[in-house]
Amino acid sequence: MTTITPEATTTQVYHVFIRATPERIWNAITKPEFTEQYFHGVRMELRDGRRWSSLTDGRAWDEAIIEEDPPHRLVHEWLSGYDPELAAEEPSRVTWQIEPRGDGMCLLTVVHDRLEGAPKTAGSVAGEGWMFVLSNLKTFLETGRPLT
Amino acid sequence: MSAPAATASTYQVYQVFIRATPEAIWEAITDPRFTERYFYGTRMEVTAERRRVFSPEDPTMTGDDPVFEYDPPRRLVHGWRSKWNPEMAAEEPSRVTWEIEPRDDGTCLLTLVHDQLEGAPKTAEGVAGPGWMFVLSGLKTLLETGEPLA
Repeated sequence: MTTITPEATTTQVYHVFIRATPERIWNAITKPEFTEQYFHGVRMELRDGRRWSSLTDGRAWDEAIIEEDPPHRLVHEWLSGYDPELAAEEPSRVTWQIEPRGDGMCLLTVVHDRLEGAPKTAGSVAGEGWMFVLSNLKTFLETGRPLT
Repeated sequence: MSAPAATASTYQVYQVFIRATPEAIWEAITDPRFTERYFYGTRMEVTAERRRVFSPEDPTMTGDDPVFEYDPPRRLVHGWRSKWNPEMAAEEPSRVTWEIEPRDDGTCLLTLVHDQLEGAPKTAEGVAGPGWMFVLSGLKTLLETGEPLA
């Protein structure tokens, strides 16, 4: 068990550099056949102004898309539909930003904010929560298979 | 459009999951043959006493900082001074902690804490967010693919 625990704040910012084009990263975060490989098995797709999430056990939920600018920027509501206790909290917001940084590399920035009304969600996604997803996404794009 | 800036706090925490053994990660952060492939080309030699930094390409990229804790392959704590930038180099030293935690699935969680930055505000800003995450992203790519990120 780690002795270091990052603080669960109401604005959380995560960065990762990935060897991939903006288009490949965009597809990996918006196409269900990719998200299910690294995002805890959740299939996610963008349709009719909403982001639809589903798991093979039948759990499903959807969130409003606030901004969609492929392949650089996606902003959507966040509801923790995978967990009834977290799902009862107020919606928060997630921003994905993809910036090319030369050498075939991009900087992916995820901001999870407006978490004031969702303290349990804030605690659950903090630190390891988001960094597991982003580490897994990076490994998937760079090696062709997920981390675990 | 630029990304939102991370707050340059005096206690910064970065985490990344890596598909590698603790021993491989330890070697990658303490052996100059590895560090020069992801840490801005710098060769870092770490012993139980000192962490020495040297760059064959750039003579300003040098450093020699004390090692406070040396517990291979789990935990390394050392001093930090940003010698490559005169303004930052004039600031007070800060501290960096590397913690390697193996998981059951063949991965490790690497946590890096850069703290005691109260006397080094420019360094705090320089290393924040993408600064450290460029290094940790490069380390992960090197260990998982055998090739540097950039």
